[in-house]
Amino acid sequence: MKGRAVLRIEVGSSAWFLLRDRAALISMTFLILIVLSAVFAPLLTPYASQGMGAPDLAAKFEPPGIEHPFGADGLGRDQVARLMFGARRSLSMGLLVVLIAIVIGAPLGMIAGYIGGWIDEAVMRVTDVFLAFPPLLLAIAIAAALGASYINAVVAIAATWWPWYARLARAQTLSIRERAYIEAARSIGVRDRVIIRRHILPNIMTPIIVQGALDVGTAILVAAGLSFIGLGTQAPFADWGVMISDGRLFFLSGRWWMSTFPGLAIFLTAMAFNFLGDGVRVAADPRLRRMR
Amino acid sequence: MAEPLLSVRDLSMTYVRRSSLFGRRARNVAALKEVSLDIEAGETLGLVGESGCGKSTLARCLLRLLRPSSGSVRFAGEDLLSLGDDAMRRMRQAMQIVLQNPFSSLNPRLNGFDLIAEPLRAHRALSRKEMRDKVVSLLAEVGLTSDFLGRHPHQLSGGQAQRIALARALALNPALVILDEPTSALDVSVQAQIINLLIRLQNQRGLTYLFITHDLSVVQHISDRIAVMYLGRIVEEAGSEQIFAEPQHPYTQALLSSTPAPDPGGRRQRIILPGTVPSAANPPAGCAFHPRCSHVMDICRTQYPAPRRTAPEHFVSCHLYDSAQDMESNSMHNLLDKDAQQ
Amino acid sequence: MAILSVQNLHVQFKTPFGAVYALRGIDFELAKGEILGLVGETGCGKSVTGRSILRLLDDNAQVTAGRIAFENSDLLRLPESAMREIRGKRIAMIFQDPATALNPLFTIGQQLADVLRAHAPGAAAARRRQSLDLLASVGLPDPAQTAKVYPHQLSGGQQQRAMIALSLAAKPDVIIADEPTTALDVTIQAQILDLLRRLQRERAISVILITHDLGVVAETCQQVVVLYAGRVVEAGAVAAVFPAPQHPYTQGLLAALPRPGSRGSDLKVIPGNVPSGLERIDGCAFAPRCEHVMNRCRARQPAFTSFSAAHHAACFLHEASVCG
Repeated sequence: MKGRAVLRIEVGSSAWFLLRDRAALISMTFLILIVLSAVFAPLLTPYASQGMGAPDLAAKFEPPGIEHPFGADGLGRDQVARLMFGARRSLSMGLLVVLIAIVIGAPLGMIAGYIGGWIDEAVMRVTDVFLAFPPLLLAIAIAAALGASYINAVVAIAATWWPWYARLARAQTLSIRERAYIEAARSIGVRDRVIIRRHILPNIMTPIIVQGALDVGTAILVAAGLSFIGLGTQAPFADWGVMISDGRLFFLSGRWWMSTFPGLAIFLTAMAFNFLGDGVRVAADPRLRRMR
Repeated sequence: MAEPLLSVRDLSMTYVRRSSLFGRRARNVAALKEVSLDIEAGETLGLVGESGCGKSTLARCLLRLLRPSSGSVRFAGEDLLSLGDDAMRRMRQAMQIVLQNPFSSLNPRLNGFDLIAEPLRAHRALSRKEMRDKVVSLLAEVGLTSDFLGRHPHQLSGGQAQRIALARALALNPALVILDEPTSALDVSVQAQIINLLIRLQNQRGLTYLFITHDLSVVQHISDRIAVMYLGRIVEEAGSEQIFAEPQHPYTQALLSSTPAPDPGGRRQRIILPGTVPSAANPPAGCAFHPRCSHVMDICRTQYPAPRRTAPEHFVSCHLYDSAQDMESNSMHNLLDKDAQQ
Repeated sequence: MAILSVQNLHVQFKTPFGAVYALRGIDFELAKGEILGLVGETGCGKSVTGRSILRLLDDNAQVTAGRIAFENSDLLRLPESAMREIRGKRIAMIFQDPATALNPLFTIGQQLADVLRAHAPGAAAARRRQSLDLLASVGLPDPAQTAKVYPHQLSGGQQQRAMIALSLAAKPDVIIADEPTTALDVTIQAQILDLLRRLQRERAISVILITHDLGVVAETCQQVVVLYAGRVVEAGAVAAVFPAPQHPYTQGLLAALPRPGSRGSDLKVIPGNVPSGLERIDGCAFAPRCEHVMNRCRARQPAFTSFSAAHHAACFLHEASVCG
């Protein structure tokens, strides 16, 4: 009985430490608001059709005001609606990139780390090749080769991202593999694939999830970059990168609002993911808690 | 005479340790050298030695968790080293190991049920109900209630965790259980509980134990025979009472006298060995013990002493006993096999 | 005459789960020139006691009551600056794992010279001679060579010897040795224990030897203090306690050890587990595991009964026999 009580305290305390971390808490609230506004965008704005790309030339270049709090763009579209609909693309690109990267990288890294030998060598040399190029440049090259589109941009960025997760998963696996309980399982005659699934995977997931949370912000940034140079989301749809790109020609002529608000959205979202990831890392590792 | 359950002949294990990045100065570390031993069904063989003597390497070679460099391991009539991977996996049901520290040998993320069910899942197709019943009966057998099904290792005391590890080892009805320092991480009062449990389980199930330890007082309590290892070799082997009453190898004598006994009055003459155990990467020539031995002779520095039989069941590898019988034989292997033929 | 005396020491640890009572009133005296064994199982408070003496406890620990008398002063109430004068110079500590207690970046000789310089300013040549003497006195072969090597180049036993040499450098009066041989092999343990006995004999150093091993106490110490759940349950001369232990816990511990000739028989077992320290204990802490438990054992704490000038135990069984 006593043992159970201790468990409840411990599970509770990870969440508790996350909630006590003010930066993580604010970040989490901010991200939840952004996600909700993206999901419920059609209900939250009267300009849903403009968010999807329909022009309203009467409101062309309207500065921020009561009608359009963040102003309107060159086709008169409400910037708030554009940001909300753009968030759908930007956030989903970031999340998809990280998800695909984990799904490809983690199993490869685990297998390489657990089995070792020539398989390890082969996987690691392939990751070396990928890591040898600057990631953004490689993503641009792949996206350009595949053709400019939202999904191709996701694929292109994920292709540059998975080696990091393969590396991380392999390093974690190498340390877990030496644990006595792995040897104990082998001596019982448990099959390798069961050992990987039941003993290694659960033990390496925490650092991978933390890294994933930290990476989503960066992935959103890179995705915005591809969209900015026209290799991502295509008109009439927009994401934050496209919006910055649309506004860049008018920034110096006084229409500052077109690029500023999407820029802020990217900056704040990327930062929030970083704080959140950091908070999760601290909460998941009791040794780091004391330093707070 | 029936074939022993486990029979090891001339088992050697050499690691290659690379000392530089490019492995130019590779060094061979001989962790085991020509180890031979037999374990009869139902008996307990105690394997004693200090850290680095190769006792844990030997256990891992027996289970084929490590590949020995040469020699043979026969278990239940099968040559383990020539078995295919699948046959070896099946064979593992019959030989289990319990490791020193249960908190590292039990996956902290699994609860009591999953820990004990793991070997059953690997080898048996049981229904949920059968699985649960089997796990609960195993728990009962090691003295735990079904309360422990949902507990994770960090919620257990050392003794409870070691009982769970024992239940795991027993799940597949093994013939041989290798116990690698199973009580070293435990407190005295808990150690006694586990030792009693081990003896009771052995009597009930007819288990065969290979009990590996550095603690002589524990090993004499549980073992029928004891083998003493030093730097990769078995230097002495005899019945438990025999080896305690008349230790013959100078190393065994020193080991016995170094073990602190809780009786301040009965102070025996203490032999304090000089120096430390040499590195297995660079062992002394001849008898590896000679730099620390107070009886060292010239021959010890050049020639490894072949095992001699000094009493019916007492073998020792030491030049002090060169005049003993069996002069013609040159290894314990031959002595053992000759026994078998008679 | 007592050189160090610990009186009614209470220590708590603050944790997220509440206060953990580590020490619930420890009393003992260390006489000059003797080796005192502080013995008990995991969590009994033996290491906390050792660290309390030098005020080396973690930040979340709090001494809630007690006195540690050392030469007319109470170590618990000395200012930190005065405490620094005592740590290492008057009372030194040796740890279980010498590999982490020695600085890996400096040679043994440099580390010794540092300590010597801090305590006895003088010529470098004299210091060098002194450090070689120290290394020789702890039984390290070839002191000149040993002084030149880094800690990782020594074996575990040699590291512990070097650690002892370091602790001797300031000529302390008391050494607290916290499980100094637990990480070592038996033949090496025998060497280190022999060294401690020799130092005690030759330099009249007083030693508190913290250990879980009753055999080590029997072979090394003159006095023994048995701890259970943060309290002393039995104390006295080794020669009196070991042949005739009076507290059921001490009896249980000794009976639980396998001995020559016990083969195959059941070892005596102490049922149950050590209490966690999270609860307050009103009665005798051992009551839930004791085979002689009586009603009053659970209600209040037994006082010490003396069996001789050198042997005391805290148990109602004996209080009863004295009262009739």
